[in-house]
Amino acid sequence: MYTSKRVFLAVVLLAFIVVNKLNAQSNVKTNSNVKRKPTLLIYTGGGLAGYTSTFNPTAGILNGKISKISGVGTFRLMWHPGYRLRLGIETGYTNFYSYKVKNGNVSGTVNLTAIPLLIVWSMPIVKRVNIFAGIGSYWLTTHLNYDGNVKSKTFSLGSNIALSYTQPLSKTLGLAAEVKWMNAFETKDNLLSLQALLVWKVFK
Amino acid sequence: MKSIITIFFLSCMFLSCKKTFEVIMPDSGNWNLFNAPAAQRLNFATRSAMEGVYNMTKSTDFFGAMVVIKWNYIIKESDTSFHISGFFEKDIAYFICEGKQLNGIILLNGYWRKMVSTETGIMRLTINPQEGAINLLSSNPIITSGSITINGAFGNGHADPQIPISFTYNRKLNNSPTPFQIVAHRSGGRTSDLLPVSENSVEMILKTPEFGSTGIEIDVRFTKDGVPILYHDNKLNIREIQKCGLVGPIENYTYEQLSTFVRLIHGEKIPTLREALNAVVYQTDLSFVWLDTKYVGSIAPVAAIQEEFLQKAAAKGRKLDILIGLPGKDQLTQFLALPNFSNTPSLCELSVKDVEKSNAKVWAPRFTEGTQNDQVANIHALNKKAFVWTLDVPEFVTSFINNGHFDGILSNFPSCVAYNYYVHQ
Repeated sequence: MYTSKRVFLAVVLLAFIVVNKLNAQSNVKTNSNVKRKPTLLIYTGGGLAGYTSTFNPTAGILNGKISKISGVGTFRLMWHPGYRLRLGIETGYTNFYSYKVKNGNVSGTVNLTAIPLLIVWSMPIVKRVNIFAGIGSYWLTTHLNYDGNVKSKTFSLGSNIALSYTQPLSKTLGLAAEVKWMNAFETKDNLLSLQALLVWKVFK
Repeated sequence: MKSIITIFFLSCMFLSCKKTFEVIMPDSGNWNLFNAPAAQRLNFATRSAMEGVYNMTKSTDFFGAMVVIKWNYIIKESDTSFHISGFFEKDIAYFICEGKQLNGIILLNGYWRKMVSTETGIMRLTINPQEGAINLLSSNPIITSGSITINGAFGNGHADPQIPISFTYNRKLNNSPTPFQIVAHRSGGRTSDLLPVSENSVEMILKTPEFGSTGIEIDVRFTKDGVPILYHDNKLNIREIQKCGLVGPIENYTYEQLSTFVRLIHGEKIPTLREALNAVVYQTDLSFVWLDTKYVGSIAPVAAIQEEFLQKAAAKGRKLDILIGLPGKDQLTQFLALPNFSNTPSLCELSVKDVEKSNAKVWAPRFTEGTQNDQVANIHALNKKAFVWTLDVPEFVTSFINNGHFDGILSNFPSCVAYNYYVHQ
C-alpha cells in the first residue's frame, strides 16, 4: 500500500514539475471563447513497465529472481468534445510479474498478466500535455506451468493515472510519451510504465 | 490554477485509501521469575480448581465487572500444552496465559487482546500463598467465593505491564446439564479480525480452544484433482492468502499446485480436510465439527472422510460429533442421494421439514430469525439439537443465551460466547 502511494506521489510530483515548467515557458495565451470542434482520438503504443507493489512469495521454493519488468501495451479511444474534460475507454495488456520455482526435481513458472478495461477522463493541463485518470477493472490471468498447465482468471477493480506529452507529426498524427501508473487495487497489484504512443485524430 | 486543482483532486481521490490495521503480538517471554528453572507446571487439580467466574476489582473500566477463567490444552507431538484463558465482560477482551508455580506462588504469563480494536499487550498475574495459592496447590483444593485473588498488571504493546489488574473468585462456571457448543467460525475466527494465525488452518484449529471454543466450523471445497481442502471464498484472493500470482477459482488448481505456491496470510499451507480432522481428533479436545460444504457436488467423498474420523475418534475414546453442513437445496439434494444419508450425521440450515427429511442431527437457522423458541422446542421434541449462526454482536450473544434455548452458537468471537455462557446462571 505504501509503495503504491510513493509511486503515485512520484507521478503527481512529476506532473506538478512538468506543469509548472511548461506554464512558465509557455507564451501561448489560450482563448476560452474559441469554439473547439469535437474529435475522436486513438492512442496506441507500448513500452516498459515495472511492478511496484510489494511481492515476496514465502513459499520458499523460488529459484532465481522474480521478474518485475515487462512490456506493456495501451489502446485508448478518447472523445474530445468542445470543452476541456474528455472521456474515453482504455484497454491494453501487461505482465505484472513472473517467477520460476523448483520443488525437488519439478520446476515451473508463474505469470500474472492483466488486461485493463477502464473509463478514462483526460484534461489538457498545458499545451500538448494531458493528464489521464481512469477507473474500471483489470482482468487478471494466471498462467501456471507446474504439475500441468493452468490458465485461471479473475478481475480486480482498479484505476490508472497518466501524464503524456504529445508532439504533433502531421494534422492527424502525433507521437506521445506517457508515464502511467496502473493500479489493480482490489488485488493490490500496481505498476509504473513509460510508453510511446501513436496518437491518431480519427475525425474532426 | 485549474490544472493544480485537478491534480490536487486526483491526489485526494487516489490517496484516500483504507487504512491498514495491524495487531502486533506482544512478546511476553522475558519474565525472569516465570522462566526460572525451578518454576514448575501446574497439576490438574490446581488447574481445574482455578476455573470459575471472578469479580474484577481493578481495571473494571477497561475490562468490565467480571472475567471467566477456563483452562484448555492441545497436544503437540508427545507434549501437552496448557493455557489459561480469561474472557472479560467488555469489548470482547480476553487474555491467554501459561501457568507455573514457583516457591508456592502461582504465576500466569501471557497476553491480552480486545477484539473490537487492535489493542493488545502483555499480561502477568500472580496468586500469592495467602491469596489462594496454598489452597490451590494442595492435593484437594476447596474453593469458595473470595478464596482466590489474582493480582497482576498488564501493558500496551511490548511495554512492560504497569497497569494493575485484580480479580477475585466468585462462583463456579455455568455447568448446565444440557451440553452447549461454542462453535468457532472458520476454525477459530476470521483472518480479517487480525488473529495471529489464519482462518481455516490447522494452526487455527490448535489455537481456537484458547478462545473458549468447544467446536469448530470449517469450509470444505475440492481441488481440481478432487482433494477436499479448507478454504472459505470461491476464489483465491489476498484476503485469505499471500500474494503468489495464482488467481481465480480454487477449483482450477490441483492440490500439488496449491500446496507448492499458496500460503495463507500467516504463512500456513491450505490444509486438507484430513489434516484438519486429524488435528481435531489427535491434538485437541474439541467435541464438535461442522463441515460447511462450500461446493455443489457429490457429498460422498466428504461422508467417507467423516466416517473414517468418527471411527478414529471413537477408537481414541473421544466424544466427537462431525456433521456435514447442508446450507442450501443443492447440497441437500446431493446429501439425500447418499445411500445411507439417514445414518450420516448432518446439520441442516434449511427448514424444520428439511431437517426431518434429511434426518439431520442439528437444525441451524441464521440469527436474524430470532430466538424462535417454539421452533427450537419442536426440534428438541424430535430429539434433535438447534444451533444458531453467526452471532458476533455481544448484545445479541447475551440475548440469545439469556432468552433462547439453542444448544450451540456459531461465532467469529467464541470468547464472547464463552463469557456469556459461563456467567449465565
